[in-house]
Amino acid sequence: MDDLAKALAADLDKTFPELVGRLQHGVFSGLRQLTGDHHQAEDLTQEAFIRAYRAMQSYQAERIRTMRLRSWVWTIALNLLRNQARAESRRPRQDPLQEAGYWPTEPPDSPAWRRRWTLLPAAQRTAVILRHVAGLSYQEISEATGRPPSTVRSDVRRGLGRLRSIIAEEEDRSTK
Amino acid sequence: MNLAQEMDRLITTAPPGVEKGVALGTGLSDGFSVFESPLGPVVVAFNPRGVSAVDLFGDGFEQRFEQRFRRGLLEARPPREWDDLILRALAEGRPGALPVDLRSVTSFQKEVLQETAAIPRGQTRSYGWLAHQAGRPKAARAVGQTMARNPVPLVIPCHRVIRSDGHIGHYGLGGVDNKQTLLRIEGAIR
Repeated sequence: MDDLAKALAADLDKTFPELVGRLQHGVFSGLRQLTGDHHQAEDLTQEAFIRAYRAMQSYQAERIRTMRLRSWVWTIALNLLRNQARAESRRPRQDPLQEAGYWPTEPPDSPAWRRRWTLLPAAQRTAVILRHVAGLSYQEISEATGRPPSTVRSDVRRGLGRLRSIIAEEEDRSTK
Repeated sequence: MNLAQEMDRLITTAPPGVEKGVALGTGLSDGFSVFESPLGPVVVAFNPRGVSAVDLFGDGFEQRFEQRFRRGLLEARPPREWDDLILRALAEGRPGALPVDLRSVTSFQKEVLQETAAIPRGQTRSYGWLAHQAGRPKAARAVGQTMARNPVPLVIPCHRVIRSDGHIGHYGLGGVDNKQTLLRIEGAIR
């Protein structure tokens, strides 16, 4: 990632697609769980990278060189998530295939997970998803959410504990 | 199945639309669609700033675009509100309310193209007249080069600019025959 920041500082336009290529799957996977909706996650992922690019255009090379890219992109994504309504109204209409619903890769909805996430407090849900679905380190989650690393650590631990008991309850119920 | 394994299944790949949407939304690539025009199907390229290029639909337009503009070109749809504006601009030979991206030309060329955009349908102007309008009366040759560099023919009607001796002059979008066809359709020549 450090090499990528240096390359972005040297030539933003040439390197930016590589940033998208490297981060898009993690960002999309995380947003997929945070929103519970495939298309909304796709929109937000696109919008997060578009905003990242516009912001970088206005930054000095020195600033870009030292950026922590993954947590910074996630800061933008989490902001967008909070302002979803606004992001949706700006939705570009740029892809006919998408409109026609031709995507072959859309994973099946998982109602079980959607329910589980709603049973977690927001901070725990975000921390667990960023750690275990989006693949961020505790330090990166701390940077992206503005919460101290020790708090993030305990959010993740408590969130996982809660998920285990939710799943145990589900299994209990299904065996009765 | 344990929790870690279950959560691993939530890690997925981003749909292919993400990279494309980002390329178009940042302007790193332009989108293109094919539209009907008085000369038949044409390719119209666009980005968030406006329409950036018009070319005849057929072999090589993508390479020509990438060579000239140094950006990629992806098949896409323009913003909804531009659909009608593009069709009307092509049919009437004037940009109207359609935004046009003229970053690819110099400031002098931009001024000349803006004057060209105002030439009414059914009329013609000379290269010298345009040079005069742009404040450089001796620059008729530079005006000729500007017409050749017009990135959005039909939308900016460079076909209405002819030589002062009445000779029809050059035309970039498929040659002089097309220029004659357009001027005939518009009633500027017989």
